[in-house]
Amino acid sequence: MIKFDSIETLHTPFSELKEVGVLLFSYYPTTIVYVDQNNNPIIKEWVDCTSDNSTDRHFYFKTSKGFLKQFLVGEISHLDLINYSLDGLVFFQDSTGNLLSPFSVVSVKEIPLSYKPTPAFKFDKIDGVDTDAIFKYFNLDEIETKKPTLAIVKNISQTSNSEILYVHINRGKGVSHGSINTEVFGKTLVNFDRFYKSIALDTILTTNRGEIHLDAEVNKKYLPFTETVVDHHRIAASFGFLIKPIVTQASLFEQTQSEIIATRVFELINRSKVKETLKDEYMLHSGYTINSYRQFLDGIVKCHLNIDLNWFNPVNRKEIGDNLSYIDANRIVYEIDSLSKIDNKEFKAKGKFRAVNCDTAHFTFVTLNEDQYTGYFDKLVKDLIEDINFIDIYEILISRKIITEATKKDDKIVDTIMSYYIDTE
Amino acid sequence: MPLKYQAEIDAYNASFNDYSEVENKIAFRWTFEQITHPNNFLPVTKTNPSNKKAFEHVTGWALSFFETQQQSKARLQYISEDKPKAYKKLGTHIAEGKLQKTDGICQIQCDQFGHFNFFDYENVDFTPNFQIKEQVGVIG
Repeated sequence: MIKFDSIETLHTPFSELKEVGVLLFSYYPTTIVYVDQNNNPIIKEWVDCTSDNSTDRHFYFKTSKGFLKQFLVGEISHLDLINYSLDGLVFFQDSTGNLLSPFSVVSVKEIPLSYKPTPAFKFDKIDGVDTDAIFKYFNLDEIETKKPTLAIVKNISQTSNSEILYVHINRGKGVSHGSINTEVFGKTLVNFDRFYKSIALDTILTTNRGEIHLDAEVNKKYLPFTETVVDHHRIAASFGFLIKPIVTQASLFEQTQSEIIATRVFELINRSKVKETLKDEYMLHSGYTINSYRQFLDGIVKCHLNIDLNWFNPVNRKEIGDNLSYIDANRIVYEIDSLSKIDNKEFKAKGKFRAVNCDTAHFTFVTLNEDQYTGYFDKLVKDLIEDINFIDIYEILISRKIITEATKKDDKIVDTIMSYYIDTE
Repeated sequence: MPLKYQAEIDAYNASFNDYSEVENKIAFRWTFEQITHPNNFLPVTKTNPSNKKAFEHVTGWALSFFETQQQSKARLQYISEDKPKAYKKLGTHIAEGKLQKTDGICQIQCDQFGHFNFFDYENVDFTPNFQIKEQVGVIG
């Protein structure tokens, strides 16, 4: 058996324990639930034995009924259950028949790797042995698991007197209890931030606004409404983080800007789930917002995320919640894309160049019928445009993109010259 | 024919209606590297007598088998995802053999993992009829 650093303790760390039932497995009871004199669950984990099978090694740890319930309903992994030991400690004991060694204590962080479950291992009722007896003994049906997390968030919102948005990524690639792959977290956070900022700018400037660069000095005035901060609080969840406005504006009698922004964020999420209401919602936002929402959804799909979003106002106690699964996100992306379309066509025209910018490759071309085209030269031909003159008649090949967007009244036309030559006929 | 642990089994007053003798039934079992390992064909009440749970039900005196090699391997690997040292307790290899009428009585219906129980008759020795097929884990 493995030797590792621990502190031997002469006294028994638990009051008299009574066995409640075996959690795992029917082939061999590797995880057993006990109860102490204070009716708190204590877990005993088999982790090792000598090669002749004569001595077994177990460790014990304290848990709560809430964590036990979360484990049994598959909300947290077995590793999470151990890591959430109430005092952060586990107590090892070796047993040879009826002969028990003294307890030795280590921090959960110091448990040898080969004594830990893999991070993905979650309880499946089919593996349980005395699951019903354990549920009944601790009355686990009465224990709520998800709501207390929201209650904690509400409490944080009230304590800090700030509106708070709780983003809970409860499933996805690289997501486990209390941790998340850095790249997945980073991208999700940035995508959500862009989406939030875009809604905020639509709210302040209307949807007819142009593109706003918030790092420009002139746009600093918008920062109090668009900027948010990630608020650090440790919350028991798959992975959750709190976002709050950089400026607290809580008001009892009227909607604050951040409440209006949050409401619009949630309205778009909610209404985009239904094809008919998505079309209406699409018209209420700028193209920038739709694009940033689409990017946020794309990230959710790529990382197979399920996200719960909850917003709280500590003053008027208003709360809004919704969720997005990657399946929802995938369908919404499809519906958004079906509301926009791009047509491509190519045609030739004869006429003269009226203007050519050799630096930007922008052109203005007037046909013999006085039709005017503007646009840019294609990359493949733009290096030669310095030789163009304004006297000769040219035949040009134009590639035209016609972009139809539900948010715009008119189609957007983008013309690009793919080739040109002097007409010598 | 009496079962191997008949006296202990009698104490449970159990019914064996869902058991019957079988002929040439291919079966797979978790074993250790050497087929002659003393624990390879013992019930859990014998291999782990400190396991009180095993004594609660008559199946504690039965041997565990699987219908296919794949099911046997998958289950052992699954448990080791939770308990990396489980191979030391449950076995590191998969052995294959044929169960005969003269070996004992077999649970008619296996569970969804392909697992079934088998009560062997007195004086049955499975060692000559089972061969190691595959190594699944190591004792580390």
